[in-house]
Amino acid sequence: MPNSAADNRSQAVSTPLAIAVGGMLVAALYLIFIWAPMERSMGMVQRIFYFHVPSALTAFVAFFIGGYASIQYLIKRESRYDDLSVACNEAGLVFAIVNLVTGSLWAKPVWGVSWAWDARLTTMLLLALIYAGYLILRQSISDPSQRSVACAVVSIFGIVDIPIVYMANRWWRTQHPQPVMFDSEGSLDTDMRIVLYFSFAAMCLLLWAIVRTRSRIERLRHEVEGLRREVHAL
Amino acid sequence: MPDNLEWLWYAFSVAWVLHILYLVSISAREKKLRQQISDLRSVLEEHDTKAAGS
Repeated sequence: MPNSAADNRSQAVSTPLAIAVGGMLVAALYLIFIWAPMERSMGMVQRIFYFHVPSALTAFVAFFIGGYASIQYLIKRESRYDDLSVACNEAGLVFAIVNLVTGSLWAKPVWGVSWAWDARLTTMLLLALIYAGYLILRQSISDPSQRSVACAVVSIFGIVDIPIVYMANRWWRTQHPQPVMFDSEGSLDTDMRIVLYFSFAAMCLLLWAIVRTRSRIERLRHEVEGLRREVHAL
Repeated sequence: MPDNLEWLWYAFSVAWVLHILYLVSISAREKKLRQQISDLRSVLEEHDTKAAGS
């Protein structure tokens, strides 16, 4: 069986990866809740920032990889790229939803409202809706080739929104706080920046573990489809 | 300084619950597909055994 060698290799990576993800996430929690300095004006609620911002960035990474895989699929028509694309886009949507929900839960005590239709929030919501549409589209087209092509186009369309989300609070006046992640002015305390980067690294590792598992599901789905064809041919 | 600890707790809980639910869902999907593969292979093996016997 050709898949058993791949399964063994995959298993050999999965356990150390799961341990590394668990270790990184526990370390991130320690840094967020114990090590990070208290923000003077917002207090404890500011710590939402350490998983709100990395969630958004991890979603962007996932959508970019998904978009790249979609472009590769349209060029080469190899199903492994479509598998990678759906794995990244689905995982990315989970991170985007976490970002939107944690953002609302931060906004309620700080702004007094859970949601504001400003440019950053609206473009992020639009991004999540594009990828929710992508997943709905996958379910609604039965022909595998047509499905992969249509979804690849949506996936590529989705990545166009990412720079708009990222630049929204630079291009327009928004209620959302100004960027701190890659700014050159050093508006963020060094310790806070370390915690932020560490959380981002932990979430990227979690993304990698999820994408590996989700891609494996797609390979299993192809195997089921192949076996079904064989059974129907009997 | 406002504490707002409950909002931190809600956000933290929602983030983890969403990730855990997603991990449980993909784990269940993988388990279901492996079961389907096993069932389909059994059908094919049964057919091959019958064909070899006749």
